[in-house]
Amino acid sequence: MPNNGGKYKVKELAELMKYAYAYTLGCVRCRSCAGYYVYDDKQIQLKGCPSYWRYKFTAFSAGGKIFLLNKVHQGLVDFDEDLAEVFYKCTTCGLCKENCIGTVWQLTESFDPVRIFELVRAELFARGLASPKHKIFVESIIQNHNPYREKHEDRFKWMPAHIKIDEQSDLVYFVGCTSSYRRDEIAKATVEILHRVGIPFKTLGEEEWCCGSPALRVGARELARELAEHNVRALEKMKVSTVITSCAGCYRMFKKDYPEMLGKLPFEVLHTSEFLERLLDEGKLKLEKEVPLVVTYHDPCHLGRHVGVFEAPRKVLEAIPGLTLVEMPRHRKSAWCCGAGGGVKAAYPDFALWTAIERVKEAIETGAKALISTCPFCSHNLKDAIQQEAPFLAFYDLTELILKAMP
Amino acid sequence: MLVLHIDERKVEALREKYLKGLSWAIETANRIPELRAQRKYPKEKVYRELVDLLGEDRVTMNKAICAVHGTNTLGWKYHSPPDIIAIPLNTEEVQEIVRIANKYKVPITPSASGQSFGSVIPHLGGILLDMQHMKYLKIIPEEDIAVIEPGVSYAELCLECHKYGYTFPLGTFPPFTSVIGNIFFASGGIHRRSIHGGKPGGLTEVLGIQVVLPDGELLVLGSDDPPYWWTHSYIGPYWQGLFYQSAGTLGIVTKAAIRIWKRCEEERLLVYGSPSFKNTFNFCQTLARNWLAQDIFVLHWGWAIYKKHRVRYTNELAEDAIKARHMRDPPPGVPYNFISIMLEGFKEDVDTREKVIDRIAAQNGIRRIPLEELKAKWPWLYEHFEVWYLKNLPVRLEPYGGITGSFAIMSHVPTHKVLEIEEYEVDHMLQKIEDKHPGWICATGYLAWPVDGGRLWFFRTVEFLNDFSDDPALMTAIKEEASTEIMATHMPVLRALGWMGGVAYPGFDMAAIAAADYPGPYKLWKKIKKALDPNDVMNPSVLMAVPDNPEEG
Ligand SMILES: Cc1cc2nc3c(=O)[nH]c(=O)nc-3n(C[C@H](O)[C@H](O)[C@H](O)COP(=O)(O)OP(=O)(O)OC[C@H]3O[C@@H](n4cnc5c(N)ncnc54)[C@H](O)[C@@H]3O)c2cc1C
Repeated sequence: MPNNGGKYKVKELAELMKYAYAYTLGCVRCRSCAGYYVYDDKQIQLKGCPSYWRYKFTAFSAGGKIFLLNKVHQGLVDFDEDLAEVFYKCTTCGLCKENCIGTVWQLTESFDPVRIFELVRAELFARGLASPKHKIFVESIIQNHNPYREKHEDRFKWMPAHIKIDEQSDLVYFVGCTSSYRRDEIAKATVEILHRVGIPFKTLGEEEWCCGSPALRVGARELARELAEHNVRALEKMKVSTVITSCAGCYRMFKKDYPEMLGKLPFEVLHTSEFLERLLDEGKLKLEKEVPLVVTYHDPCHLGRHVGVFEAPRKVLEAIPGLTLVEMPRHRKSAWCCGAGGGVKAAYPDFALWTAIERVKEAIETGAKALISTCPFCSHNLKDAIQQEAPFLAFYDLTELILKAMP
Repeated sequence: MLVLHIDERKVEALREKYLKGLSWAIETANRIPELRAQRKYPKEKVYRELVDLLGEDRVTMNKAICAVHGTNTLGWKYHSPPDIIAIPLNTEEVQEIVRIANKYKVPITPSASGQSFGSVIPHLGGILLDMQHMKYLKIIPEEDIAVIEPGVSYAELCLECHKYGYTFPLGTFPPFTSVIGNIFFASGGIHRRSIHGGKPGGLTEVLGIQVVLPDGELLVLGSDDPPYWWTHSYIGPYWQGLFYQSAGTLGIVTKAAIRIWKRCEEERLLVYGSPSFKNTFNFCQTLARNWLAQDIFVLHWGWAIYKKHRVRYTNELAEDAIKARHMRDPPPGVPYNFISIMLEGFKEDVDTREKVIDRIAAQNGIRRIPLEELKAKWPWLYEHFEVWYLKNLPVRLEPYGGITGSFAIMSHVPTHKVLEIEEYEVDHMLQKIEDKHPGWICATGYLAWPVDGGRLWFFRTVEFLNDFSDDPALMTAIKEEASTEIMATHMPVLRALGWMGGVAYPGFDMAAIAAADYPGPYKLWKKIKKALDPNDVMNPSVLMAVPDNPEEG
């Protein structure tokens, strides 16, 4: 028997539903959230929500999930495996919010789909209903401070010998787990740029723990908070003024989630793309070598839609001599997700790959020879898709391209 | 103010009838579990057979996925989800699914986009046949025809039409509304050529259909291959009419050939502001009678200003609107009615008509609102008209789904009654509802437009529940109270005034009204259904309890 009419384990969900219940009635299941609909001269209509287009049933659209939440609140649907399947097969990319025709989301800022879905996931997690794969990586974060079941002491194994760490610097490079263990070319490129421009920096060393993003996305809110507290405390101890990160997931945590959990942070946080833009503006970064390449840029959801950084990476790309940037039809706020986020890569790898292949096809259609992004996790998934679908398409992180253009 | 000629005896008789229908509807709703239990079938077996047919990906018994379909778009008092959802991708699969349903006598509810206001709830459980991914779409420019499947949305059809320089008359529903769902099963609405028909598509614009009958056989009334589009020349009655507005009870339309329109050399939007509905009416009626425009669309200020602000823009003007309180008094600087007019044709012709329309406007005390002014003062209206009229795309910023839809009243009104109906709706209905439920119900005003050269008018009023509580019981109670008030108090009066019926309510209320108002056609419908569908598998909930309805006798 359903038994959850208004009774939630997660306090924030209960609080949210106090005022949000009425908004859940506002959705008319029109599925505009799942589509993407362009009004400019191109007049094209494309797929929006990966979850809906992959799984086809209305329930997988954001509107469907909101409808379900309404039923949950009324006690007509229970928190169980069936509900978990619907809520976890979602990359929490947030495109639904951009596409809604004006029904639910726009009524109030705080009625944000990603936030709501994450709170429902927290409830599911608290009830032991997360996927076993999620439980494994959450366990690994607890044990090893990273979700990849890698040894904590290996976190900085990638660091090239010639790079000098300056403990006096007030700039910290927060590397993140994916750049450290899976996509170390991004970490290497980032430190190499700093080294060549002559910017002193340090890292958190063994005090760098997972930023908490993977935990938070699948509903392990308490753990995410502990990680936030640890990382922020460690940074405070180091007396830093600026933190840069090359991971969109870490960036979102520092920029949005940490302040929500802990209040305003006592240091500035920049994504590498923003930092590079600043260096260019200050004339410190010189891009002199031609990179004769047609590229297209994939906006990571955590950097773009979730926090609003769209222009910095583009400005940096456009500063590269010889490079031509062409946009995919779905870009900036309307970007199609890479498919990796929200715990999907771990629990539903086929869905993650399907989503990434869609993106890769879109990139190829622009005529670009390389796909660029600014997130190791996107990179991870998009590279898998490229390998399977289009090995002729190159993939670079923005930092890697910058290195190519530096004297 | 007019003197309203309301025949009280007629009102009383109608009230009694509707209230009986309403209590029947409520009783029936309460019996859903019992009625569902009567339709027993081997669920697992049916599921397995469907999986064998469609694969695991397109069939589900997941309770959460099914729960999404247990309630209609606006209503939330029912919860009657399907047991199984099946997603076919073509006609052959639909046929096979229907055969399986027949074999085990499983109720089957077809759903196109599933956004309608009542009849797509599988009250008796069974299979929900979800056709939203049937997306065959072919434009045949040399014949002015598009062939579509139920999954094709207005957005998709329009964008495809544009590639060929064509258009399909657009309504104000969401971009992803199914064209077939709308043409065949909606109550009709505004569109670019509303002055002609007042309904997007409409039967006359459907040139051929393919229907899966209750036994799984395919009935072809027109096909992809010319020259069989023109079903009017078929033998016997006008068969297509059987499947029109029959809500999937007699057959499932899997393909339709519809008429599309070549776009004109010149498309021009004119917007006017009117100080009262009397001025509006005289102005629009003159234009409509003389076929001076392709489309005329009247918005009550409340609709244009109040709700839009709640939904998307700042609340500043909405607050003004609330302060204005009386639905008769727009805030300063806002016209009582906004009127948008679409002109299509050759440039010289459009230039001439624009001049004539300006003259008639001035004669009626109506002010032309330049588009720049509209854009500056009411950007959401400009955006809406721009997308809809000038870009010829379904509106994204669409005006209905803003706040929890509570109930809608919409239908045709005979021309000589339009002024009275407007007066009753504004002064006696909308305003009273606002007064009675301050803070809860938002009386949004109305949309209206002349139809068929001004022979009829279409009137649409929607009330929204706009203040919120986390208590579902309270929300339901308020909504039910408001619905009952509409049904018991206002519907009979509107009807007695000459309003032609058609009301969108959740669930059975619609059936209750229909059976009360149209007993003859209702009986005939059921007889035909019995003959075509002896196992009563096709959307049985639409007609299921009608024999028990006291109004049917
Ligand atoms: C916000 C909003 C605004 C709207 N505004 C308007 C408006 O201005 N004008 C207007 O006309 N409508 C409007 N609608 C209604 C909307 O357009 C309807 O949902 C649509 O017209 C009905 O189509 P559907 O695909 O949703 O039908 P469904 O809900 O899928 O089905 C309707 C009925 O037809 C049956 N059915 C569906 N497909 C088939 C088929 N292929 N063969 C046989 N039977 C079938 C179903 O069983 C059901 O009984 C609005 C809806 C919303 C949500």
